[in-house]
Amino acid sequence: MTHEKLETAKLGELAFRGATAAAASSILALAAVYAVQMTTNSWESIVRFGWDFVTGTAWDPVSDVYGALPFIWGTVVSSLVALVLAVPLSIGLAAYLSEVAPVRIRRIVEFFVELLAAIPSVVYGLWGIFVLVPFVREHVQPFLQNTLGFLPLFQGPPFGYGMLTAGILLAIMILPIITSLTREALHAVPIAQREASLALGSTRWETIRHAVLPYNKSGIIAAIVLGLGRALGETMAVTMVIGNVPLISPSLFMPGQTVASLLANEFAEVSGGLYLSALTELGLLLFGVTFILNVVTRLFVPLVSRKVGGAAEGRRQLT
Amino acid sequence: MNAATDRYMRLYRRRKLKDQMMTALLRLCVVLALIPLVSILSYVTWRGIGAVNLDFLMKTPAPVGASGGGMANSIVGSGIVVGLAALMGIPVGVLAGIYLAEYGRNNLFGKVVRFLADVLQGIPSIVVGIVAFTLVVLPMQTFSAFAGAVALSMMLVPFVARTAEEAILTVSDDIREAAMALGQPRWRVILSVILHAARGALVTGAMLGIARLAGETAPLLFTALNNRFWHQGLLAPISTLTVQVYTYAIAPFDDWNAQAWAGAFVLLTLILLTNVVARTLARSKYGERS
Amino acid sequence: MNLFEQRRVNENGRAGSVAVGSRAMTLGSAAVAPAPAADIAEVSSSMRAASGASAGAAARAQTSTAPIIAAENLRTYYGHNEVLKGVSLKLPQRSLTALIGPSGCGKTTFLRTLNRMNDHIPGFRVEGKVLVDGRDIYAPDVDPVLLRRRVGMVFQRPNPFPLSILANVTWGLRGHGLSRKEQRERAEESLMKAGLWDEVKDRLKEPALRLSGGQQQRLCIARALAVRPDILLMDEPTSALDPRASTKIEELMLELKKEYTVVLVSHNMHQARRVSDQCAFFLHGEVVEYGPTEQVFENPQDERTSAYVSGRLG
Ligand SMILES: Nc1ncnc2c1ncn2[C@@H]1O[C@H](COP(=O)(O)OP(=O)(O)OP(=O)(O)O)[C@@H](O)[C@H]1O
Ligand SMILES: [Mg+2]
Repeated sequence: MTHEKLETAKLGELAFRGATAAAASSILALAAVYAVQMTTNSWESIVRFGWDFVTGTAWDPVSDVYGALPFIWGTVVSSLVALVLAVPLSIGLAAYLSEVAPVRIRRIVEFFVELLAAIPSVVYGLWGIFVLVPFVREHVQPFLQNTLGFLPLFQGPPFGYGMLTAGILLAIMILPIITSLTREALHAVPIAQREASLALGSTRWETIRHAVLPYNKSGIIAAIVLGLGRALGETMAVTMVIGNVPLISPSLFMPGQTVASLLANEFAEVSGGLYLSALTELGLLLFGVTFILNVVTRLFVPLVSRKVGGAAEGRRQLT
Repeated sequence: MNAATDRYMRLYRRRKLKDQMMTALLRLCVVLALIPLVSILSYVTWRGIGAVNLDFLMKTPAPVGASGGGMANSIVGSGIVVGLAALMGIPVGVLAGIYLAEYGRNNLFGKVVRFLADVLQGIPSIVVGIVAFTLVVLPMQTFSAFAGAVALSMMLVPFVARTAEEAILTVSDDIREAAMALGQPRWRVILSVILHAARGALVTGAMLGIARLAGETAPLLFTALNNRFWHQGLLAPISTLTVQVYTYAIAPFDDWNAQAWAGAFVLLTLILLTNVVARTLARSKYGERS
Repeated sequence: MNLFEQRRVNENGRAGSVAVGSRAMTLGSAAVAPAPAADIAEVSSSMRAASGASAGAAARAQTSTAPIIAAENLRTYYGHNEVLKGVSLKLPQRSLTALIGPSGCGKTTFLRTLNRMNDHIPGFRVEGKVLVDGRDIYAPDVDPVLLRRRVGMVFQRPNPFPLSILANVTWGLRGHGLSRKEQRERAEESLMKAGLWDEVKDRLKEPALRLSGGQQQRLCIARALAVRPDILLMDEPTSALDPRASTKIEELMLELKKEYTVVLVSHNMHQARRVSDQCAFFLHGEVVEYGPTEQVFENPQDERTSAYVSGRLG
């Protein structure tokens, strides 16, 4: 009797443990499925075009010629614009939250940053179309033209829709993740480092600039890279404001198209064959790049990855 | 006054000025970051509330050209797709989280799974859509609510797994050991004691996960597609709030645009409410982690 | 003019400039330093008090045991928790004062109020006065940065920056307007004072974290000395070190107190006894006994003190 009971208990443990392990394996499987599905489905295009796929500039479903360079260009440029705008802002915000803000203000601002992270990208896009695009067209672009118009970056007619607007919108969207990851990075800086600096007669800014920020450079870089990963793959908001014209132009005022926005525009219309394969290869490209960015940063930078999921919460004040 | 002191004080004046300027700049970062938030929330509220009415909440879209109509089918559709995704994803995610927290804290398998779960959360959602398309839509030869739910659940599993792991890890080992000392098998302890102790955090995590799914558009574009009518079963295309907002936002008709704002308002209200409730729940129940 | 000027003049010829420097750091007031008017106007946010001249003059007239630090009925709070409950202490200059007492009695708290290091802790509050050179350092016009430049601190755990040895020592010299060469000289001088020079002179570019714990702590002392403070606060500087490293630092303290006013928190009775000139026994946020070290250890006036120093009270 007891023996039997023991056996059932053992069996129960085995079954439960097996079930949880199976569920855990599903995450492994998921990663494998991504890789396999994307590769097999884009194989035809990979074989057919080889490197021409990423260097070609013609994208023509009618004659089945696919070159992705304009989309890669659009993706990279819009993401870089986003980084240029978002990085200083996010690091400043994170430094403010971790080193300057009183507890109460810190909580409130963190709450708002979390809200910013919770807004769906289609809402960003909607706001982008009806608020940001007109604002950029009527204020930002004329201003840039008047002040920095000698740069090729800021030449051409102010459409509103285009690379610049997409970059601004992306910057707003990746600000929360860079901010919260930078916060984590600063959180890892020992209080003793700050006190050492202050005790030597440094001002608060000197302490932030020379003792706190440099202490965990790799953490901050990781935050930026993960922000970049987000920007590269962001779809809806960009699709709605970038203009969706596959151009390679030095001007940020011109419309463009990203890999993700092309997918959003064309994938539902695809019937199969080489076209589908080429589109999937674009997805594979996006997958590969973001996968590598994530793997590399997480492998080399010990991150408190909790915040990546957006489940941020209040933490100890450091200053 | 001697030269060294003189120099120090002169420099100090500059240092102090710089300190004040930089601090002001840091404060400015807050303002700059909050401007878009305030703008988005107020525009969505202002333009959204004006367009939300009973028709919007009760009717399906009017045919092209006709005015009126609403997004009732999309709201219900979002509920169906997200609900189905949650049904498929949350149990798997929670089980995986249990594994990570209880059995796989330090073994290689646990580490790999944890790592991949984090990495997968950084994969663009449009990619998830493509994979779901090739997995479900292609073989079944139809866009469907089911395909959309598969796409969303693929995003949900890694997220829930990690939040569940975190939630379970907040339960102290003392409870674990106390319960096991009573002679209970481990799985019983986990199911009865530990999940019970972690239930608040688990619910919070699940709510945040669902709120995120509700806002996803890209993975639904070519899985669930869209539909002008009430839902027609899980194996037919279905309208969702996000895709509908997208469609109406880029359309060249004013009343569609207005409906897009209304849809955004409904969507944002639901999502932010869920977020706020989940986070207050987490805070009030478990206090500040220090 | 103040005490430090005198002291340094006594000690080395070059002191003139150093001394005035340190004076200006603390006081910098019109009354004391005949600085250009613009200087004062701008810096005065930190140092406007007029008491300097008379206090300084009075102090100079006294012996070297004149107080440089004086706490008057000092009460501190973390939120509602009153930690120091009316501490009054006068610490003479150019000597070493040891603060002893059981864990949690407020020694660290007291030490950290002396350079306003607790300002950064949310909810921290001070009542009463702390005078340094007769100036209330919690007065609204005192700039803590300038205060800390004068009141150096060494922490319980060595906390070097993750930089080279040299960069650590010169770290606090930013804003002193020194040339690279001057900084280098200053580093050498400080490392010598900290008794570390011979051990590191050939490896100044190496990461400081590669040093041993004891060496790191001496590096932190050198780093604090490099900005030429007058007062050095040491919070259990040897508690994280092995006995041999501790002995080295104790020897160092004996040297340092000839030139600096040192305040030492120690849990080690023997250490306190060996190195200090006077000793304050803290208990539950109050100073139970304060006097010359010998008296506190040999002939304590209070029953609780004798219990503690003889090890009967933990
Ligand atoms: N940052 C803080 N916030 C709140 N309370 C504090 C803080 N720092 C110290 N305290 C409290 O103040 C009291 C005195 O602490 P303090 O560190 O000054 O003691 P101590 O005499 O230095 O002890 P030890 O010998 O253990 O270092 C303690 O009760 C402690 O809990
Ligand atoms: Mg202490």
